[in-house]
Formats: sequence, structure tokens, C-alpha cells
Amino acid sequence: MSSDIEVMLGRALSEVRAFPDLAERVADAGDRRRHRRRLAGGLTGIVALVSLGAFLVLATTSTSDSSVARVSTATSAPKEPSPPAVTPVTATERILGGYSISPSSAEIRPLTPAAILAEDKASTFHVSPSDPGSIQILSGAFSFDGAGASSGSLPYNGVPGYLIIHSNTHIAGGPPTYTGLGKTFTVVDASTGKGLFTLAEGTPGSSGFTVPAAGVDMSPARGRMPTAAQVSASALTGTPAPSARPS
Amino acid sequence: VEPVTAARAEFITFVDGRRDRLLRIAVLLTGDVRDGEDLLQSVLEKVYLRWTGGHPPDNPDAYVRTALVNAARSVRRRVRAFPELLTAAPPETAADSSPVDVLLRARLLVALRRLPVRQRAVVAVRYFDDYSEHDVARILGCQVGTVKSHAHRGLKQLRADPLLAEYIETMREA
Repeated sequence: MSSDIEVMLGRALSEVRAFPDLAERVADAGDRRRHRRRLAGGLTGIVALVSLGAFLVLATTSTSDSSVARVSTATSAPKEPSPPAVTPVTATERILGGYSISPSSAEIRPLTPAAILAEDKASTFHVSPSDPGSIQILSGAFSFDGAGASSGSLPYNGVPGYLIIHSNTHIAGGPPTYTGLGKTFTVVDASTGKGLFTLAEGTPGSSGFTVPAAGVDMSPARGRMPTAAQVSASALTGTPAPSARPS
Repeated sequence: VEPVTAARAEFITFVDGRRDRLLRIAVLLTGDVRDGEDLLQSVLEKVYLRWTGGHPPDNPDAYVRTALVNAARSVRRRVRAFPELLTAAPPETAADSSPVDVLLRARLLVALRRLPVRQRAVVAVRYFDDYSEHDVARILGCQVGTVKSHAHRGLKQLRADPLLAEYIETMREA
């Protein structure tokens, strides 16, 4: 029935021939196409990586922005501070900030001087020489109380740590070296037996005296923390550091 | 590298044994010799990438025919992804072709182009390529009844085409 069409189709197309090397040419074209695909894929991958890197850089830069950093600092206050980068801190500044000095064993923490600045906005900050871990309070046995701080006993010889200053802390006097207005108490480098801090110009309190806001100068140089050498030198003689004086 | 090389050799062997027949099917599907060449080349390239990509077809003959039919049905088939293959030795040879055959081919292709694509595909694969109705249905992805329907209508229209009436009458007399 369909033989006429079959014959006609065969006869009409009998001279239609493909290229003799059609298969080779197609294979070569396919190989080139595959190569282009791989190359395009590689380039796409590189572009994607570069874009991702740029995005991460931008994201890192933006998150290190000051506004974000402030939030981070505020929420991470309890974290350990970074190592000291700036040692000089004026005691006057701290005192004028409404703080007085009180030793407290409960608040002895391994903080560095750099942390003083970080905690200035907190209720306490710490005063220590450059190597706080080696400080001992030799002439303790005094108590403290004051605004924002409950009374307590401190410490004794051999307690390493820091002097911790509370706002408006009332320091009850304690013998032997910390006995009165204008007197001093001494902290000594435990490793060398040297060191001196001076509390002076105290205001008498009911049971001792209250360190006035501007009445403390703990540094040999005005408003400065004592250097290790100065502390050592004054500790040798048992007297305040040369420039340490009542303000 | 070795698997790709082996697959390439298999592909070349496969195409070399069928290139003329595949081209004729492509010409029947498109109704034009040049379009048929383009169609075949583009389809064979895709088949080659699949073949050498670790996924050789189980039945290459049926696979290539299905790809040809689908490509011919695609409205995008004329968008050439690759340039034409140039050759210094064109395959056209006038020596063996009688003027009658040349005229018949021209008229037949015109008549084929008047058929819907599905009917054209059935005519090409069923009556030129000698596939059974079941195989044609498998290649076209349709029912056998659909193949029969397309074949009936396609043959009827070709026989009724005035361009082919003279040749069909001659063949019947012969």
C-alpha cells in the first residue's frame, strides 16, 4: 500500500550524502564545546570566589564599625580584657570620676592596668602595677564599706591581687601602716618585696576615713601609676615613692 | 582521558556506518537538505557529549532518531548553536543523479514541508527508515494508534499532492 511512497522516498534521497568526515568533525566540535564549558565553569567559579571574598571583606569591615563595636563592648564587659597596651593612667582622673580606694579580696581578679580604662565606667576599677600578679597586700587587716560596696574584711598579707576602688568607699582604718588620716598603706611586689602605694589626705569617717574624690595620688609622678622601678626604689626604703604625695 | 578516547572512537564508528541514512532522515524531517545537515550536526554533537560524558545511550540508533525528531519539532531548532561545518570537498555530486531524481527530490521536499511535523516524522521513520509502528511509537513517544493515524494522513496528503501525482502514477504503472 505504501510501497509507492517508500520507493519515491528512497529514489529522491538516494543522492543525498553526508560529509565523509562528519563523525570526526562532530567529535572535534563536541570536544571544543566541552572545553568551553569547562573553561566557563572555571571562570564562573573564580568569579564566585572573588565575589564571596569581597562580600566577606565588606562584611568584616562593616561589623568592625565603631557603632557595632560599642555594642559588642557593652555586652561583653565581663570578658577578660586584653593585655595592657597603655600603662599610664592618672589616678586623679579615676578619683575625679567618683571613685575611692578600697582593697577587697572578693574582687581580686587577674586584670591588667589596661583593664582599668575598660572598667572605668563600671562600678569598680583596679589599680595595680605592671605586674599585678605579683602584688601582695602586706599591711591589710582593714575593712571597707561605702556606697555600692558592702563592708568586708580584707585581706591579709599574702593575698595577691589589686587594689580595687569603689565609688565613695569608706575605708576603715587599719593598723599598722594604715592608721589614719594622711597615712599610707603599702602594697609590695611579692616577688621582690618592693612596692608602694600611698593613700593620703583621707577624710575621717565614723570608723576610719573616707578617701575623698580628689584626695588620692597613688603615683610617684603626678597622676601617674608608679613604674616598676619607682615602686621598687621606694619599697627599698619603706617610704613613699619620691613623687608620691598627697594631692 | 582513556575512557573519553574510547568513547570517541565508538561514536565515530557508529556515525560512520550511518551518516548518509541519518542525514536523509534529517532532510525528510526538515524538508530541506541544508536544514537537515544542520539538524543532524547539532544533534550528533549533543549525542557525542552524552556518549563521551559517561552516559552512552543503550540503543544509539533509536536514541539518535528520537533526538532528531525532538529537535525537528523544536521551534528553536533553527537557532544554530554551532557554526556550519566547512569543507573543501563538498559532498554534492551530479554525476549519479538523473534530472528526474533531482526534480523528484525537490518536489518531494516541498510536499513534505506541507505536512505537520508529526506526520512528517512518521513518514520519514516509518517509510524511509523502515521502522515498525511500535518502534516509531517508541521513538516519537506516542501510542501506536497515533502512529497509524499520522501515517495514514501523511501518506494520503502526499499522494494527493499535485507535485507528486505524476511520479506516483508512474511508479504504480511500473
